[in-house]
Amino acid sequence: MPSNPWSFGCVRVAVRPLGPSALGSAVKSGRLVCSADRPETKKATAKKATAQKATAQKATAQEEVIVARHNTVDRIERGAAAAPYQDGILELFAAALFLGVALLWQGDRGAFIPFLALGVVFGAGGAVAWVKNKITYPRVGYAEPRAPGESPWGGVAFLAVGLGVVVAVIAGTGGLTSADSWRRWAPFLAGLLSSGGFWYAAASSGLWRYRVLATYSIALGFIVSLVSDGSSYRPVATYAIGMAAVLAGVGIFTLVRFLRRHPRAGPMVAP
Amino acid sequence: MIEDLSDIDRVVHEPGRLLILAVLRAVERADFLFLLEQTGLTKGNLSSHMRKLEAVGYVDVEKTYVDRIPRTLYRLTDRGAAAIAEYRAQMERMLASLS
Repeated sequence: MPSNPWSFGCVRVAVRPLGPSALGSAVKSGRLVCSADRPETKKATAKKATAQKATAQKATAQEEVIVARHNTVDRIERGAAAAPYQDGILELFAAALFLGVALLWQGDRGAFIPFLALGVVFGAGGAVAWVKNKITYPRVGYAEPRAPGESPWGGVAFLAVGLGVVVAVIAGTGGLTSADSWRRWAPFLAGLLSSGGFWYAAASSGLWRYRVLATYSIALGFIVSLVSDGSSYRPVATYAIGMAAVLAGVGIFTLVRFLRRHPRAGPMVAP
Repeated sequence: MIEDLSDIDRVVHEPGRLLILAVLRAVERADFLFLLEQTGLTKGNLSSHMRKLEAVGYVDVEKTYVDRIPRTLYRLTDRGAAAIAEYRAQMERMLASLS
C-alpha cells in the first residue's frame, strides 16, 4: 500500500492512510504527537537556529557553485556582453536590408538606395526594439549592450583603409580613370564597407559569428568582383543577394535555437 | 597581506554579488529577468543582493513601464565600478604574495 505524507504542525511524517477513529486512538495513546502543541524548548530554539545557519550556508555554497560553473569573472562578462545578440534578429534585419538593396539595384532603381539608407538610419532602431520587446525581452530579459569604444576614429580609419585597398586594386588592374575598373570592383568596395558593421558587432559582443560574417562579406565582394567583367553595376546586386541569403540563414537558425532554449516567461519585476 | 584581507570589500567578495556586478559591468543596464538568466540565482537571492548593492550605492535602480508592463532596470554606478577595480587589485596583490 502506498504511504501518504501528512503534515502535523511543523513535523512532516509519512503514514499509511488511517480512518478517523484509528487516527484518534493513535493520538490518544501517545503514539502520534503534534509538535506544534508543545511549548518551544531552548533545545528546539537552538536546533532551529542551527537549521537556519545551515540553510544560509547552503545558499552561499550554491552561489559559489554557480560562480565556479562560470569558471572566471571574465567569462561571465563575455556571456553577458553576448546575450543581447543571441536572438538572431540583427541578422534578419540586415538580410532584409541587403535584399532591399539587391531588388532596387537589380530593377535599375539604384537612385532609391539613399532613401533606403535614410530609412535604416532613422527607423531600423525603433523596428528592432519593437521586435525585441515582443520576442526577446519577455524571454531572457532586457539588456543594453555596452559600446566597444567612444572614439569615432576607429570607424574613420577602417573606412580610409577600405577605400585605400580598393583604390590600390583598381589602380593595379585597370587604372583609376577606367570606368570599367570602378564598376568591376564596386562589389569589393561594398563588401569591405559592409564588413565594418559586422566588426563593430563582433567587438561589442565578442561573438565569433560576426567575425565570420565580416570575413564572408569581404571574400564575397572580392570573388564577385573577380568574376565580373565591369560592363555594369549589376554584380553589386549579386553581392547583396549573397549577403541576404547567408544572413537570413544565420538569423533563422539563431532565432529558432533561441526560441527553443528560452520559452516565454511572465512579466518580471524585482520582488 | 593580512591588512589586505581585513580591508577587502565584503559587499563585492560575496560570490552572488560578484556575479551580479560582473554581469552589470558587461552591459550598459539590464533588467531583473536578464540578471536572473545570467546569474542563475533564485529570485529571492537576487532580490536580496540587489537591495544590498543599491544600499551601498554600487547599483542604480530605475523603475519604468514598457507597454504597461513594469520593468526594473539596474545600472552599475561609478562607485560600483571603482569597487570592483579595487577588489580585483586587492585579490591580485594577495595572490601574488602567496606565490
